Amino acid sequence: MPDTVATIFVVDDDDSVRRGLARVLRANGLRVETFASADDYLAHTAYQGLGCIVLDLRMPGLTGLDLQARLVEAAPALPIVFLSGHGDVHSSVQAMKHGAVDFLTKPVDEEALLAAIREALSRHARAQQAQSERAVVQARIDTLTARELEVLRCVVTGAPNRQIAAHLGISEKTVKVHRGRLMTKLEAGSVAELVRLCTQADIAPASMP
Amino acid sequence: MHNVDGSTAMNWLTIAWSMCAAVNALLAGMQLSLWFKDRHTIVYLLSAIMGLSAAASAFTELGLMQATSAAAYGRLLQWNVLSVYTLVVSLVWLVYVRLGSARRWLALLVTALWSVQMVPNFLSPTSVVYARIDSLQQHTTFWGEAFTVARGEAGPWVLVANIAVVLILLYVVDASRQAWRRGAKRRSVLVGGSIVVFLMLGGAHAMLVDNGLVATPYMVSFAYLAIMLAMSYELVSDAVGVAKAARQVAVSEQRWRSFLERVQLAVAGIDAHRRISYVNPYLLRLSGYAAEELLGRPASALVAPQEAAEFERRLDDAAAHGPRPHAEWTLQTAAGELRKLRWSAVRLLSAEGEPSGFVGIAEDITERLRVKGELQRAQREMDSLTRTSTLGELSSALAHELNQPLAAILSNAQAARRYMDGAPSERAELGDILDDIIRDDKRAAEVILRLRALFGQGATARERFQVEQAIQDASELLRGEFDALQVALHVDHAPELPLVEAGRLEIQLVIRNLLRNALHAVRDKAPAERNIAVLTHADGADVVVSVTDSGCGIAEEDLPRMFEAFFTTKAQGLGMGLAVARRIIEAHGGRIWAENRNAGGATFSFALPAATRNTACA
Repeated sequence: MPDTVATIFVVDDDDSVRRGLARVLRANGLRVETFASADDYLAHTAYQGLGCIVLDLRMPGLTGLDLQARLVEAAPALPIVFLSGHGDVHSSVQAMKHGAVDFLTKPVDEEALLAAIREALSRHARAQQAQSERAVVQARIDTLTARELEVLRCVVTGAPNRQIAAHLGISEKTVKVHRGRLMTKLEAGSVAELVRLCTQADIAPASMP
Repeated sequence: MHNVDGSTAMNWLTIAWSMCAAVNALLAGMQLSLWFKDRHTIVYLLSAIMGLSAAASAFTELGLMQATSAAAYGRLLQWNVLSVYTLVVSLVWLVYVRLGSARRWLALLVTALWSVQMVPNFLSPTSVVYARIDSLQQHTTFWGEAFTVARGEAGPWVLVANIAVVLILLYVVDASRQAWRRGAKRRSVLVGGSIVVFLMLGGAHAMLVDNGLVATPYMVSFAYLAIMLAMSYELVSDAVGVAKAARQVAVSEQRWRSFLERVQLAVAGIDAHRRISYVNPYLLRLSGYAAEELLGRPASALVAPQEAAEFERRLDDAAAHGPRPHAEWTLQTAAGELRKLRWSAVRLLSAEGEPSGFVGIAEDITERLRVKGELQRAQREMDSLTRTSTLGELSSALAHELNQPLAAILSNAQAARRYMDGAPSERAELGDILDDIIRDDKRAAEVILRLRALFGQGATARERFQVEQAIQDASELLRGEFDALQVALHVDHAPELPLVEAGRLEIQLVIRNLLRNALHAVRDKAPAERNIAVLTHADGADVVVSVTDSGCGIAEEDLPRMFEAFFTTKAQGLGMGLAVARRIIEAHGGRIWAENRNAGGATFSFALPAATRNTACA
């Protein structure tokens, strides 16, 4: 496995299934935690590290889909591999729509399960990576003044300074000063880089006439 | 006509008796003319005979009072008696016909008694009244007019005559009383009353004259005049009544006509020649034909050509035996459209009782049939959908039930293979893994057993055993679940319970299902309040097992459905446990039921027939 620090959370109400899944994952060198219900999982884990959830669809109390709905609210959520006792097309479509990594039917083969978990973990790793990059960018953007942010939103539209000045009602020279400062603060060398940063930080370009 | 005493005073007796005769004759003439117009009404003829007889009676009475010799008196008296005879007979039969309540034998008897008297009447020169006439006596009225009265010995037939008079009275009184009882009050009073009163007066007076007790002329004809008047009045009242009824019929017909014209139902009349004699406006609108296109056409024009032959055949049958209560026929409209009509017809009979056609009324049921057809189709679709979804649910439930243990087995087995290659410390877990695999395998087998039980296939062999043993086995298997929920299981067996003969595993499964439900019912209670009791007792030839829990009981509306497949009150239940239990118990000739306890919680019980003793010893 690429990452041994990952933890796999197995949520299934069936004791026997839960034990079997835990054994087969542990035998493959994974760290496993088990929960008998979705409620148990929500109550006990505040896990921040790398991992994924192997989730039974049909359980008493909160169902697998209920738990998924709860988890996507908190980003970045742990990716979910669904297990189902029977192929339910409707549930599987819903699960995949909400970002499930895979939807496996019991009894699930070791290889299929491990492949899905591998995919889930790499997806989670990428998400965490993106999340940390976004945090860095956000930190830089937070250093901008309100006016600099305004100018940034105009610059990424590709408008020339003269037009930005007219739009904001300031002189072209002032625009140039703000532009220079925000490039420095954001450690960006080109407009193209600014556009990438804005995309990462989810900053919308100004709507200019 | 001459004055006996030669007086020149007006001859009042002649005038009075003549007028009496004239009025009677006039009334008779009117009745006769009525009879000529309506020969069916025999009452007119009888009334006319009666009137003519009364007129004849009046004339002979007049002759008698002016008779000058005993021989002439006797001859006149013969004719007088004859007129009275025809009068009485017509009267008797008039009453018979008019009141409709008289006794026929009495009428015949009276007629016979009077007829018999006519023989001696004309054989004896002095009529039936006298054996001989001794003398003719001259009397005068108080105003001085002379008239003749005979004196002589009463005839031998006088007793018969008297009996005959009394019989008439009895006959009329009896007929009137019957008529009164039947509600014909006016008629019974007028006909019966007048006859009785005037017959008594006239008859009594005549007897007095016959016996020489009073010296007046016979006045029987006046009595008959009164009767005649009363009867005529009665007939006139009838005629007035008929006129009123005719007006009512006209009003009623108008009402019917307007009903037929407006009603949203098809109405058609068919005459005795099987031709259409009436069609109402609704039928015209429905068919698209004009009235003249249908009227006079053969009745089969009311049905589609392909049904015409059958329709004709049915009409033959209906003419003979009356129509069926309902019949559906297709109507082909002018535009060629086919509409289904539901007819209800009556056979018309003439006054003579001959079939004179039919009147039918029909509802257009084309739309209703179409809607019904659609509903049936929808129902079939629903049924098929339900079947499919039940199958879908079943396979889904089955997949879930079987896949759980299979999933566990696969994971455990694959884990075991890894451990075998791994460190010795890991191998220690292999035993646990194998235990889990064995248990899950049994679990999967149990699913199959339940399924087989549900569909009644592959019933397991029956053996003789104690239910106590099955209960102990079942609770043993659930020990872990009881312990986990900290539920106290109380078991109480009745002593010397008979054995049952059943599939041991199946009964154990039933008990396990009931115990599982009980566990589910108490799990939300505080641990101290989680109680489950299993009780057994013998009930007649049955062994009864009850599982009682201290849960919240069953909602009333759920009670009847508890044992249906896929009915469940559990969030994750499949609704199979109790359905399986019922299937098993009923297959063993037992019964299973659920009830709420007054103290809270529910009791599920089943009764199994006990094994018979002789086979138990075998």
